[in-house]
Amino acid sequence: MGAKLSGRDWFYRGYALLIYVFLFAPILVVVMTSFNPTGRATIPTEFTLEWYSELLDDTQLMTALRTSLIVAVVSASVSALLGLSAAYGLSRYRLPGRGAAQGVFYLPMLVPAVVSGVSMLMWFRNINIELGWPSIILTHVVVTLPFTMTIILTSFAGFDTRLEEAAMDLGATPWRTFRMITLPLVMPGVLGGALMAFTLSFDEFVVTLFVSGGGVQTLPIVVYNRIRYMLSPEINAIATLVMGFSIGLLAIAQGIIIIRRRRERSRQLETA
Amino acid sequence: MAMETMSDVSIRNLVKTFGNAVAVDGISLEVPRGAFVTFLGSSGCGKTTTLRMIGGFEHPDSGEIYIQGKPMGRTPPHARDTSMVFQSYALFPHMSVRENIAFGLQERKVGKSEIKERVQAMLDLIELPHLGDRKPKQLSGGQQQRVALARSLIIEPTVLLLDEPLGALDLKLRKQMQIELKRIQRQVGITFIYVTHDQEEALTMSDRIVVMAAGRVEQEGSAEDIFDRPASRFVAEFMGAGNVLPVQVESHDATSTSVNFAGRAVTVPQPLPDGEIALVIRPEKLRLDSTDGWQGKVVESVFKGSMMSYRVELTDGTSMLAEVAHDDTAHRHAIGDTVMLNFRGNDATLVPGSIGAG
Repeated sequence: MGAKLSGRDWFYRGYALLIYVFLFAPILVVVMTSFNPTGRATIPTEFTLEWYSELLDDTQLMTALRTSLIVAVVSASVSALLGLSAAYGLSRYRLPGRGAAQGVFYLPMLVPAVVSGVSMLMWFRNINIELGWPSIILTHVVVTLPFTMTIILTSFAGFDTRLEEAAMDLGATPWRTFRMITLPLVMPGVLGGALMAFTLSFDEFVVTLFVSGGGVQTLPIVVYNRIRYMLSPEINAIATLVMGFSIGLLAIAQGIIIIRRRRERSRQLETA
Repeated sequence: MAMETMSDVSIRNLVKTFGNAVAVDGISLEVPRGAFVTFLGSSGCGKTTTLRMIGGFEHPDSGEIYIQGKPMGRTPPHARDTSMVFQSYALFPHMSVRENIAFGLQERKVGKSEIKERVQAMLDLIELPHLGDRKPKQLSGGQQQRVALARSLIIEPTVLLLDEPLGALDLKLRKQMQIELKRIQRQVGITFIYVTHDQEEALTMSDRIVVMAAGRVEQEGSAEDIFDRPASRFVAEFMGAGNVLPVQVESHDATSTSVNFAGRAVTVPQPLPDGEIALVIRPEKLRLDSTDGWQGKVVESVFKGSMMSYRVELTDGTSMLAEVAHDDTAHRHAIGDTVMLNFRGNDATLVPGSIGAG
């Protein structure tokens, strides 16, 4: 590590740095602009929270934020529940056509969003599902399900089914066994899947654009409509808030993982 | 039918196949109440499958299992009065030791204060009274083993099923746990059905041993029966008989049989078995310093601590294994020494089965 760096090493370092600048500079500009009194993407000379206070008074944006949060929470919960059932079935029962079934579950991940959007819209029209809350939530469940199912499936891989046998042997009915043994043990996967679904749903744009209606609009759609006509500085404020929220969630998840690992390690030391 | 009321488990013509493989091929046996019965056999002999069928984890293709006289049919595990100790222990990793042990009582809706009391009594029985709040991962293998035992015993099953429960422990701990298991079984008085592939383990603990091979019962009897009077060549070899020898029958009556082994007559106090026969004699029953007997030459000598193990080749070429106590009463033989080998007919057993295959 202490070795002298050659010219080539410096080149690689600079190259890597440029890539990060390329990736993150626009985001940094948004954050900076959200605190800039001029509301433009210039180097700020003063600091203000003006745009944030305007944002709070902007009922259209605040309603959209509320809509997005509700859609994300509901669809993440439904998606996690369905993902759990699918993962349980796929990992426990060796049914004929199991591989094909699993493939079908992954399809929404592979179909281009535009195609999904068009077909969802046509389908909802066909079966008379109102465009608005039901169509948006159903769509978000479909879009996130492959991800929740995949994450929950990893919890079932390597699950020792003898634990369930032991529980039943001790007098637990199949339902009690699931409730007391299976569910608590796959819970980290279910929560991880739900968190993933929440994030995906919160910034889903393309498919949502097709299926929203009835005056129900999620945040990404409102933001998009807004910036088509004018670049409002409030948008920078809400973008910064949403980003902070996402980073916060990530940090919490990471923190939990780190604490768990530490605990595991100290336990192992204790028994060693 | 008097037998039936005495049996905790009775098995009739049990058959189980997995695809094309026959795991259990017509087993019938009776497990007396309060007994420590061991299913002994190598892997794939059907012992674990039989145990899992008693527990209700697998269902027989045909035949029936009766527990205290009641036919089990397809009764699921949670409705059976049996409890299993798994080879991997299968302790619930998200629960403390106390919660693990309490699980069965909780599912039976036993009152909180009674659960607390009985769990503590169990922790005392397994001699881990202070470890109740640990998680299974924080325990050693031997301790996990005891917790698994306590978790099964607390529901006071009619029959406790144990699937190679000591398989994952090191030798020293295993020996210790064998004694411990036997102590606990005597203390609680519950019928134990124990599965193992280790004949020493079976001999140490069992009241009755069921030797199994290829999905069938080879022999059933007390530890002494199985050890001293193997009923077949397979059982003799599985129990480490050491010497299974070709013999010719000379004469026989209702209680004894005379055979010719390597030119000398041996009288074994047992009637002649059907078909081809072989003579079984354990290495420790051979003497090498006889005045009379079979002459042979020591071709191999191995020091085994408490005993010396010799391979002796008789003048007709038969190779025999002898084990002699390593103390000051025994003469030490070197390779190449000529010895006079002998044994008593009472120590030998005749078993059906030809020698050619071995």
